[in-house]
Amino acid sequence: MKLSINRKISITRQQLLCPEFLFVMIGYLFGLSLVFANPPFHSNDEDRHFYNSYFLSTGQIRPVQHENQIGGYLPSNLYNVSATFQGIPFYSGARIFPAKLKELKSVRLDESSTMFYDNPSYRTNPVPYLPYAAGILIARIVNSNPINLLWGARCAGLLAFLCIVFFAIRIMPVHKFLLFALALNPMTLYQAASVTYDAMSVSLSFLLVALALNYAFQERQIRVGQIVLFLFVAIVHCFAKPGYFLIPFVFFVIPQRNIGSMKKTVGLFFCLVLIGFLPDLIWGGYVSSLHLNGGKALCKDFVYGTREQWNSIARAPTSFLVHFLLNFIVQGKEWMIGAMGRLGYSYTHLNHTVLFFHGLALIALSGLDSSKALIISLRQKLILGCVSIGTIGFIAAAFFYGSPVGAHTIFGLQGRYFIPAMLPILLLNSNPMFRTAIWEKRKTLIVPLYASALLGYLVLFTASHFYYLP
Amino acid sequence: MNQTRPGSNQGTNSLQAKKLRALFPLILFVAAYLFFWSAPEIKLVDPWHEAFSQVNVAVNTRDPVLKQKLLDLGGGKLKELCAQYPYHARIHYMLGCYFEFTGQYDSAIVQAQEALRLGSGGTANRVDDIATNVLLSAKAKKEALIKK
Repeated sequence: MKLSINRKISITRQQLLCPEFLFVMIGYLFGLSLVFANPPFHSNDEDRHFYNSYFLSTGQIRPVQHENQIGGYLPSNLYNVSATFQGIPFYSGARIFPAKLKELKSVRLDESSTMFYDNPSYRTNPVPYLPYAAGILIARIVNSNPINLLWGARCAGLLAFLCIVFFAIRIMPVHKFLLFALALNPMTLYQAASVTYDAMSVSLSFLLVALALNYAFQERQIRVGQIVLFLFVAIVHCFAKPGYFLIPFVFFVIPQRNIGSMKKTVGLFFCLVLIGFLPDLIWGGYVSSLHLNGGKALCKDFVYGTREQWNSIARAPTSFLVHFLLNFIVQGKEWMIGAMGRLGYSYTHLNHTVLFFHGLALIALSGLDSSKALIISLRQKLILGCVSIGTIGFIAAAFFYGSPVGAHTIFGLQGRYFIPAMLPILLLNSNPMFRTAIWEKRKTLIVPLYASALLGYLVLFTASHFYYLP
Repeated sequence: MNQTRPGSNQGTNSLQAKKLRALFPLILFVAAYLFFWSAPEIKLVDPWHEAFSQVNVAVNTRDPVLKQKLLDLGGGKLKELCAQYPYHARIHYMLGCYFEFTGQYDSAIVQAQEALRLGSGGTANRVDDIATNVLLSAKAKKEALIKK
């Protein structure tokens, strides 16, 4: 009897020290701190993502036409509270007074007075906003103040992120601590604790890689259920955010013997190609069928990425290629900083020295956290390399195409867009030769402590940079 | 003995080769990371920003010869770009600023109006508000000149 109790206790302790449980504990603690430490509506385009989530929570699933505008109806005071937090020049030392936040928290949501919001991102599909809409609905029961609704949405998004990554780490057969560190990377958690479709996109990218590696290293052939699960996750992932259609192709790290016949492999390849087009075919097709006219453009200072851009590239393809590659040298550092710690509306950087060493730590971790029994083969690394470098290249090329016609610099591309490609690219460094006995013994302590220290710094920095603290 | 010695050397060599091969991606990663982190300064600016910065430098230059040279360079380039990309509101705004600074108020008004026509109604990176400033300022300066 005593033995069995002891055994139970020891299992629980072991479970608590599993990377996935450690991840949830640390992610929950610091993620929740970020939900409240980060000023309301202040992450990248958070106001617009929140409006989309609000539309979904009130059943406004499809955009509607109102005179020459396209969008949906918002309570006027929700829009006004959100607008209070836009354009604050934090970069020149401006801060939010906690008293101001307290005052705005006393504003009750007045749904009787609505306004039409001309939504520049009305074509975005509602799938990535489902957790946020649920959060808004729950928060509304407690307190319908606009800031509370935002916090409710942020909490729900964070929980969805933590759940998805929890399962990803749990099923990841190798490099669990690399995934752990990437999911607790300051920028990843900052986005996860904000209202944005990045949280779903990043977590599902991690889950797809974990699923593929899990299937690759299992002893038997993959079952139909497992394929269906992978395809389902791939569909939701493609709906979460455009541009990452190559990530599901990590499926092909699974050896042929585990997939089965060649016919099955070819069939799955075409399924994944089709999945890449699904958001455009289904949601894009549906929005087009509504025949909406007008609407507000996001930027009108230049003409961005139209047929003119294509003509401009066709006239001088070499110059386009040279400028494209030069952008990686000129903006490479900014993108790396952006992937690790660029907060708010991307104007606020974490300390560059800290970020520099964090980047090196991630590279070191990618080597150290290898497994002796499960080795990622050269063929698998080639696929991971194609997926990650292809994703980075495609996103950069898409943004270059979407830049002002005739521009030499890539406009609007931020480093955080590369976070989903970080896991497959760092897996290229996997090698059992880097494993050491000390690392194996201490990794359960070292990585969580390191992540906690870094996230502690992130939370303190966020609170002190954006608020006047007494 | 003779047979084992070369064998063990081969074993050591192959282990070293394995270690080197294992280190190669790591070295590549670190080298690429360090390269991008401390990349050499390369001038990569959009042509309109380069031309406009020349006009801005000219505004703050006291040397009249250098001032004129920079204005000619920047203004000339902006005119070329305006002809090449007539649909970019911001280039019209920049050219409007150049004309206003060089006292060509009628041209400044035309360019600011074109910037307003093309660039009004955007949410981010707005150009209509600054183009309005140029328009009002050029009109006021023109009226003052007529009165004089």
